[in-house]
Amino acid sequence: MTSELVFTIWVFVNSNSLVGIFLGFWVMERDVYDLRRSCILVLHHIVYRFAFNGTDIEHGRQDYTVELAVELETAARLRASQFIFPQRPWLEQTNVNSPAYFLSDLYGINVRPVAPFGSASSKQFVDPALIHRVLPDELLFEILSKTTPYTLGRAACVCRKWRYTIRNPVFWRNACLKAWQVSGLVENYKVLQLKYDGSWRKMWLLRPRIRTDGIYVSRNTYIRAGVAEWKITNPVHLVCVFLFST
Amino acid sequence: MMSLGKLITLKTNDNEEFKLDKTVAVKLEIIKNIVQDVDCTSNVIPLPNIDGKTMTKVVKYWKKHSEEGVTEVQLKNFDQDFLKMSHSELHDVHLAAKYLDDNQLKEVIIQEFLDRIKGKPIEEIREVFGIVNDYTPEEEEEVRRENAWAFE
Repeated sequence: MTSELVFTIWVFVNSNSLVGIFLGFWVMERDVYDLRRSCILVLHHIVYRFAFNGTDIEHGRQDYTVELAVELETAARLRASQFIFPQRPWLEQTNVNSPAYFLSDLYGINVRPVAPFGSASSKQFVDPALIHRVLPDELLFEILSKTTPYTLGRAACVCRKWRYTIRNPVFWRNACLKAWQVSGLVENYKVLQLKYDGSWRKMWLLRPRIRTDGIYVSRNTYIRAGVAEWKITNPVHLVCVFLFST
Repeated sequence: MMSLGKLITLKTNDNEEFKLDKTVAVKLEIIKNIVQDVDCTSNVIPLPNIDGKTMTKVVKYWKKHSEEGVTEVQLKNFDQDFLKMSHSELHDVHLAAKYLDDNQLKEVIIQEFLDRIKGKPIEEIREVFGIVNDYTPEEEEEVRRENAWAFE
């Protein structure tokens, strides 16, 4: 199904703090499954709003985050769905030739298969790399999931197949949850949704972190005078610089 | 002195037979289940998914790891020697370990693969595994820039 569909729904709730909600859904070139999911989301939203009709929005939002915390995984999966196969049993059952048939859910995690280069041609493709002939994708996945994010980053440069395998958010979720384990699981998921568009990889790349896989060779502290304003504030910056080496 | 009743025979798909002490064999979930289901000390347990060459290695590993009085260092040295095999052999052993549901052996092999990747320059990884670089020069530049943080 490749048609374009635009869903526009206005919901007015007679609460003093909330005048109206505008929900716009633009579903483009998606299949029926995604469409159905979007509809369910919209309906869920409407039901939710009407159920809490009259309560103030702050309270409503708090409830929503609590609900998110329980279903952290499902919420994150919606955003990361471009990397993960949607469950389409009717396709996977019938099409034995599709890579999804073999790969889906082998380890409870769906790994997106990478077409080997030259796969578009009609002749049988033999991967010249021994490791790809002997290592099935899920073993590669298993090996890489045991490694550090830094090794992952390097491994991504090896070839296309590895790069796409490493794009799987599962690796980056593990890396993030480990790097910021002090803040706790729920907090990490909140940060993920609020600041990093639900992308673990983005969070890993952009969020400042303390590195623990090397040594801090020197520490340099100095005081810098700030700009004084109206003689009321006279800020002083205490700057602490660490030199890090792996 | 080991009594004959305590031996279990495993038969691989190329009709090679391995006699194992029962105490060694029942450590494995799959064999334990078969042994429990039927009293098969006299019978032979077939392993249709494993060939003799691979099974020799697996049995060697089990025997060493269930020996009594082996020190940690000895085991470590044994593992090091044991893992000196080609990628395809390692993979065969991994499949066998998976079939036999031997988590320890599986872990050891995955760790070995990992050690072959870890800390090596990209060119060396490609060389070791015989991977053809299928990036175009522009793509390679892009992916290197994207992952530059990993090389710091």
